[in-house]
Amino acid sequence: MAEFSPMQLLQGTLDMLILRTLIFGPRHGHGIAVTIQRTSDEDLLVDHGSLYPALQRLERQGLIKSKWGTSERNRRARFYELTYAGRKKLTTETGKWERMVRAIGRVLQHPKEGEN
Amino acid sequence: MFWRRRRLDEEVESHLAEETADNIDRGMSPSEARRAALRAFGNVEAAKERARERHPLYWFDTLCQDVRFALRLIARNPWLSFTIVATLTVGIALNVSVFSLLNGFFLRPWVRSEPDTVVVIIPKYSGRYQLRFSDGGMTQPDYVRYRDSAKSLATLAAYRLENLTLSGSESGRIRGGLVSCEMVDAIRPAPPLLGRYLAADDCAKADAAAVAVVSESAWRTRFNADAQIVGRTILLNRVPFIVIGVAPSLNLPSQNSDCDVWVPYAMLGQLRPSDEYFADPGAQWLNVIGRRRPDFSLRQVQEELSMLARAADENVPGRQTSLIVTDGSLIQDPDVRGRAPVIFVATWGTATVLLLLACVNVATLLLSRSAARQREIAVRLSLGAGRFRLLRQLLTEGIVLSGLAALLSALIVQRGPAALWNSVASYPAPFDLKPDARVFAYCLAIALVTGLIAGMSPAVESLRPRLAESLKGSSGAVTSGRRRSRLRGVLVAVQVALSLLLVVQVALFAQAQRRFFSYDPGFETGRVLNVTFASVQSGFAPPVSFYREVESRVSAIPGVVQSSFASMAPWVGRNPTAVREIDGTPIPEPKNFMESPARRVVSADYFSALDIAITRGRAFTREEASSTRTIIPAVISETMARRYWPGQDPIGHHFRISKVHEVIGVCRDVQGVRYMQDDGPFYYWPLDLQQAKPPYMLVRVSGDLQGAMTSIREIVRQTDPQMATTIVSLASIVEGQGEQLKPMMIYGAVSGLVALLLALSGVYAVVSFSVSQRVREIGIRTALGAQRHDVVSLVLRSGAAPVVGGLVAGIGLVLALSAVMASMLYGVNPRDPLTLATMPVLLLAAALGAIWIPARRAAALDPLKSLRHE
Repeated sequence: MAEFSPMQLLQGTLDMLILRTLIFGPRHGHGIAVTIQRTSDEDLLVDHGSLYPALQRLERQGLIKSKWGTSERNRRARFYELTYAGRKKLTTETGKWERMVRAIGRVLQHPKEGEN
Repeated sequence: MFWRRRRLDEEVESHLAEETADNIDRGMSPSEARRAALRAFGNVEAAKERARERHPLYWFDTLCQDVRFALRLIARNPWLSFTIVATLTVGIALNVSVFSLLNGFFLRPWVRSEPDTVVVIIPKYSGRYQLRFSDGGMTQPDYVRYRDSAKSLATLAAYRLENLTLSGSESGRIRGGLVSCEMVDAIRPAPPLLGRYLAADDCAKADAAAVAVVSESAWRTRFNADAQIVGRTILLNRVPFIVIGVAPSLNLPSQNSDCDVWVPYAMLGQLRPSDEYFADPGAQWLNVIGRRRPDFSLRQVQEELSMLARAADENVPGRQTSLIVTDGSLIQDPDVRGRAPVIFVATWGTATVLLLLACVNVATLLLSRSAARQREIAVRLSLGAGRFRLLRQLLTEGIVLSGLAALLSALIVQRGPAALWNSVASYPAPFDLKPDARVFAYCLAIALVTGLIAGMSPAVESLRPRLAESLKGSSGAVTSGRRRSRLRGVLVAVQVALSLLLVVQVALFAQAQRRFFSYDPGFETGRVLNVTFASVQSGFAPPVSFYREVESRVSAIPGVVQSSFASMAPWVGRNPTAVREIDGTPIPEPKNFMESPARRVVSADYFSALDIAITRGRAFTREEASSTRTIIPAVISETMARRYWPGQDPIGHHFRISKVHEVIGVCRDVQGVRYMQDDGPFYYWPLDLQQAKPPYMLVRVSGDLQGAMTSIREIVRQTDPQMATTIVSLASIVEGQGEQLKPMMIYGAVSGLVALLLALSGVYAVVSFSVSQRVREIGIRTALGAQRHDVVSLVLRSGAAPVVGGLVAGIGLVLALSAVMASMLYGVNPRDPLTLATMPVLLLAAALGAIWIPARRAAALDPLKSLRHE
């Protein structure tokens, strides 16, 4: 489990969620927030504001790119979409994430190992 | 970065608008919808800030913020800011101007156009081979070889300075430069005023065209600015030359070589028939300067020339040539390098001490202002501002202030060095005074350091606050006040110490100057004239009859007491010799050549002309002077008598240099070689006028000096119309040297005065401020029964304490730096107890005066108002 430190875990979670959300096409910031909230039943996005640092980080890393566009309500908004590198990263990260979930699951299912 | 900021603002705003619209769709009222959207978003500004932090140029954003804030702060306190910027400008401008002067003098070659491509080549010949003539220069064949074969050099010129005699003018001596015709390419002087410079044709022939270029100053002073001078013939060393041009300046880029005339160097043989170096391939007589091609570095030039030198050495068996290639600046000149640092350190050191003083002064001013901002800083800290961020902001304020001062200084520095030079020297500077990139880089660095130092103390102070007390805003709080006043006291002490250093320096310089002019070198100077015949310089020896006639006629002049001849006049030079035997016994050579005796060959009347006392035995007679004997009589100095015949009477003993001498007299020690420096062991033997080297004539006069000078000149002219003379009194030589002291004196005096004013104003400001902080305390004391004089003495005592501390530290500084100062003080002791005792007392008195004014104001406060003071 050397791949994730606790901090990275938290950040990494939000990053991955954003990338995942964008897989279906470009969205603006509000759209991403709403999607994440909806699909996780409001568990995983504490406030909308914390999206923006994450979006900046992902853009700096070259995993997403942005440009101005028009929202459904005819308002000017900034749209984000995945880059090629972003797609690749999403695939690798998803694989890592699933392995980690299984590992945590195994640990949680056998809590009394040490006691025997 | 501004559009990024706006972009993020716009993006967040549109996000909020979307959420608000969604909320309205869910049935909320518009204001509720907005509030819900904001809640869902979280802390808007914090999110934006965290998003912005991600950007690599974020630090630049915050820097701009800090700068804008600093500018606002400056605008809010106009008087204080003006004082601070003015003080810093004085300190920075002076320091950078001094550096610019030193830069032009030491760090750059004295060539005005494109100084960075200049190349100077200094050869060192060693090994076992026949040394013909050498004064450290290059041989002519070597010069031609480097000039023609070196690919890395664009041009190479050679030159030699010679004193020549100009016939037909009052003072015969004229400074001549024998130059190769590439000199114009190498130096690229300004266009000529009249005519032209030397061209390649002029040097092509071995018996070259006898042409000369005259400098503007010589043209005005010697030739009366004759408009028809081009084409006229002048006589240099009795050789006719045709003037082909007048140039604004014929400065050759090494010290003291502003020439009056340039002639082709091939003419050396005719000018000095006894020194035919041009034809002698082994003679080392040329200085070499040139330009490298821009795409070659100095190191590449060095390598190429060294290769050529090695190849040349193969043709001269036993010789090894090593070359030093420099960029032409004085600091790289091997002769200068050892001596330069002292002058550098002294001048620049004083300017830097002054700048430091200005910084600390400004720091105290800023400290007073930061006391008022204590609450603001506490609020920032409690709201979560990082300490480092705050520190950076406070330092930025200091740097912005010093940046403004530096901008002003950069403007001043265009003119400053020239003003500095003109205030102390009467002739225009031989080197370029304009500041270059190096000077501006220095200015920037200085500004940065100054800003940091000035901003540091309020910054450091502000970051150690007691948050609770500061937020409550009690300005009379005792504990934090005590720490702050201790820092203020330290700053005052530093200012006092530095100003004491500069004030003591002024006192020491004044003493040194007095000592210089009142010095008695052991012989008569005020009434003795030194007559230098023009033949001395040109190597032309007039017949003995010329001297005899001049001597007899000069002695007949009414005011003349005694005339005499000497091989060397005082303060002209030194002829060291090696004593081989004492009374027939060989002795070893001394390790240090300064310890071997020097000699002067003099006529019989020399001792009475210069009034040098003979303590034992006698001086030689006229007959001894002109006869040839196997044993030559000599008069020795007391030091030499003590050295070689300690405890005995040396009269009658013998010593041998190349010939054998018998001691017939002992004379007093004098300082005739270097002013204010002991001659060491010295001996004199009789001058034979038949010898080849023409002597100087020393004449003691009673009565009118000017009249005697005119008469002597007239006599010489009548005896030989072609002979010119230079006549000066020995005292005027001393005065001339003393002229060089003047600049340092003025500079030191001005620095000392400015330092004193700064320190006193610093003391005054701090005491005023602390009084204003302690108003309530004073009110309480007065209410409890303190009288006016009690209050005054309270303020005096607390104000004087750091001053006294500073004086003690200042004395320590002077003692520590005394070794450096001693070398410039002509024998005055830098640890002179009288100076070290009186200067601090004076400074203390002045400081007490500065403290007394706010003290009296404190005593005059109305106690009721003081108690209510916040």
